[in-house]
Amino acid sequence: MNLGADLLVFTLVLAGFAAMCTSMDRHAKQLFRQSPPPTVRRLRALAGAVALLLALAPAIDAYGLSVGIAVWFGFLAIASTLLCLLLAYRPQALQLVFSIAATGALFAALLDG
Amino acid sequence: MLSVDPYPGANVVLRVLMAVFGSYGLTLLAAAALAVGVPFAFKPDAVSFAVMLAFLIYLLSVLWVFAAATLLRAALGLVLPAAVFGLWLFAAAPSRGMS
Amino acid sequence: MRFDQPRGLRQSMSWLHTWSGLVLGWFLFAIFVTGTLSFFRNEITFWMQPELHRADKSRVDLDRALQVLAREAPHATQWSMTFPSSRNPTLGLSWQIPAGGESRATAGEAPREGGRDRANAPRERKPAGEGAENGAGARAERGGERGNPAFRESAKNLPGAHGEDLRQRADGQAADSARGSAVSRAAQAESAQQQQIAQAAHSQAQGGSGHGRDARVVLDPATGERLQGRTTAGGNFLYRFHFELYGMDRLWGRWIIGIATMFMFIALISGVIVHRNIFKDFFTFRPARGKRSWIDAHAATSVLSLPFHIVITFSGLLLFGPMMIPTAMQGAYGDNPTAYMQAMRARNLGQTSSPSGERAPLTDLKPLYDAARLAWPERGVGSLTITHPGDRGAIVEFRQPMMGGSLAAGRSTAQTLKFDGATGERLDPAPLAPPTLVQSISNVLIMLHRGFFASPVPRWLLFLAGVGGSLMIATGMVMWRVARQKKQEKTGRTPFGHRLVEISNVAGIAGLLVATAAYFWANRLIPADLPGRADWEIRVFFIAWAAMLVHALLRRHKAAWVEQLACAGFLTAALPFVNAFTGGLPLPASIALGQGLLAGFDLCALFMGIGFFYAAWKVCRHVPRVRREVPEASAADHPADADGLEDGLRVLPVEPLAPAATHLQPEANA
Repeated sequence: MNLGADLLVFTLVLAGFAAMCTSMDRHAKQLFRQSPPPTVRRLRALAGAVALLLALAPAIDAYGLSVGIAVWFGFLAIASTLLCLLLAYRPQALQLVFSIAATGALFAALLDG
Repeated sequence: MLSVDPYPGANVVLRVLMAVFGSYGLTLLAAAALAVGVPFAFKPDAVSFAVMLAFLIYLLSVLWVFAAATLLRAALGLVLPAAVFGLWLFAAAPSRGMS
Repeated sequence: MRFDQPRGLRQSMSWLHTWSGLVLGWFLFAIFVTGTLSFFRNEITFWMQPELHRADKSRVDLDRALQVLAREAPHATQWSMTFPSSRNPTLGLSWQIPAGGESRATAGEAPREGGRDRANAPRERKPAGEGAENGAGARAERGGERGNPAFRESAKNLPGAHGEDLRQRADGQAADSARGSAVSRAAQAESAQQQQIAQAAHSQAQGGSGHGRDARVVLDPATGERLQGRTTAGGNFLYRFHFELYGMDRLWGRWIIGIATMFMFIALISGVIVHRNIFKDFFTFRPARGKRSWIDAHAATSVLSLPFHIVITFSGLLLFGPMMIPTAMQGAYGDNPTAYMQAMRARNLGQTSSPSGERAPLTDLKPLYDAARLAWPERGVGSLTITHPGDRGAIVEFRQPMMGGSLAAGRSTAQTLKFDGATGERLDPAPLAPPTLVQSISNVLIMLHRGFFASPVPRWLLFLAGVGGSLMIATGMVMWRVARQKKQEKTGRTPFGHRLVEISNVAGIAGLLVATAAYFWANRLIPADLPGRADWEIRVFFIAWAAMLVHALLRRHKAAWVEQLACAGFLTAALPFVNAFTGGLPLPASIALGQGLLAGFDLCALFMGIGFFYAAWKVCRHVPRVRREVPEASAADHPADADGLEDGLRVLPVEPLAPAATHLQPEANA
């Protein structure tokens, strides 16, 4: 089973997207009342993008190139849908979700080797 | 700028007809030309390649038909590529018999 | 908008998006929903045969299975076994009988000869849809169906409940008359031929087994006892409806679906062009804001799984490629598509074995089976094929399950082990040449479409993306109606076209969900031994759907939505209970026994049913929002949006919903 890899891909993608959310003007205002400075936001966007791309590696490793990319896109869709709903209904929980996802990613990375 | 058409409905109908039949004709022609004209070491590739590209050509030509400013330009956008593919098909035709 | 006047690109594309989506919206929704369910076609069929639910897969009695094969099909050219897997706990046996043998052929079997099958196949099943569909074979096939539909269904579905291997076999291979080594390479065989005979491949899954050239039996793996699953249309009905509809000539059905798919493709791409801020609005959903919310929901369901939508639509077109773009084949091969088939097959199948004509007893399979199990401790053995049993040239081939497999260059990576069937010696066939780049690309697209790598996670991801796609279509359809709500209220009348959309929305979305749930109910409530029961299942589906259409015609729009959604909710959420009370394995037991596929079906039904209920409740409680127009200044920011697609942007809420959303104003970033 690829459960370790699946978990790693999902948590990485979730953390990456969450970081990207906080980097976006609209959501940053929604979350922090006051938008952080542009440099911070840009860094977050970069970190988020890196996390998303990093997630591609275990996906391809576990499923091969073609299915791996499909799986990666699938997790992207799920994670972004979750965050979309979260921002609509429970925006305060975003930081919590980010922390859980980031910890989960670390844990899964150790698990997956 | 073009003048206002007395029959605005006719314009849409003509575009729809062009998109459905004109684009399809162009697509069929393009697929034939691509299948004949693009050399592949493994010949079945030509078929797969032509089919894949054909659907994209159909898509683009439909988008063009509705995006073009005037009916004339919409029609030219179908006729000119069709002429190119037709010529290509004609030029590459001799290799057709060998299968 | 007028096409004879100057207009922006986005305006044109918005028109195209709206109408290409709306005209066939309800139909595309049906294609998407049935297609999404088809990712779990085997699981659905298995659920629909409660007689098989309690099979014991703890061990496999190979000898008993071989005895059954020898008794049932002594003259078969090929025997196959599908070992129990997490997707199917039963042991599936199938065989292929040469024409002229003691075949169970029904009225219309097309005459064939075993050996020459191969060469003839392409001609017989001519890709452009002329051959198989209009020729004698197709007539025969249809004759056969008419003659004995129940048998057709049963022949298809007994094994239909079988894991990925058999499923692929049923699909791909059926098209492939050269069954030589094809079970083991079904995936390749299929993908190789997909390009050319996609539609034939589909039809042959039915045709091939349908007119009795194959027969299949399901056993309890541990006891070797024969299990009699009820005949059912199963997941296959949904699957076939997905690409060729029902009750009409297949060629017609496929053309209709193909054209609808093209509409989808156009709507999809024009929608991407129309969407103003794909990245800025990426995570944006603003609930309880009337039309704005619908636009957000439509955009979110579209954008967040856009790669899936594009790939699934494009690969769907590729599956119909040979039919819709016949000139590609004609251009490359003229009137000789056989050459194409031969080239493809030579590359993808390698050489196939032929019988020596000399009889020889089959070697003891036990050690070979053990060797295979030893060789693949992790993935296990998926299937076994014995070609030409009883002949000196017999070949025994074990194959890893597709489960957990992946694709490399568009081919399955599942490994095989080949043995000489008479001596038991290990055979090492020459490796196949890797597929070319073009083949890899089209194979990958097609295999993704058909979910050919069977491991559960990608399959569930595809399923969820399919649900997202269905929601995308549904929200788009509702959005069109919501955008015209205010105008309707103002004028106090509903134009005929609007009413038409209202009806097609309710009957097309909620009605289809009711019909699908009714189909599963029918499966359990129609007596298991009723002749032609599979057809009755299908009839119930269409009767329920028609009833919902009538209901939508008679009731007011909102009432129709509420009642049908609630009905769908009840019927769907009750399925686990229906399952438990009509002989199926109850949900707690299936969870406890690790019968993931049954538990998955039941939980999914429960979950979705609750979702439908929730939707019904939301619609029921819905009160149109009091809205306040924003001064025209902000509308001027959107000169291109005169078409109504994004009119919602001009509307602001009176009260912000949540405190955190205070700053979330649509105009803030415009």
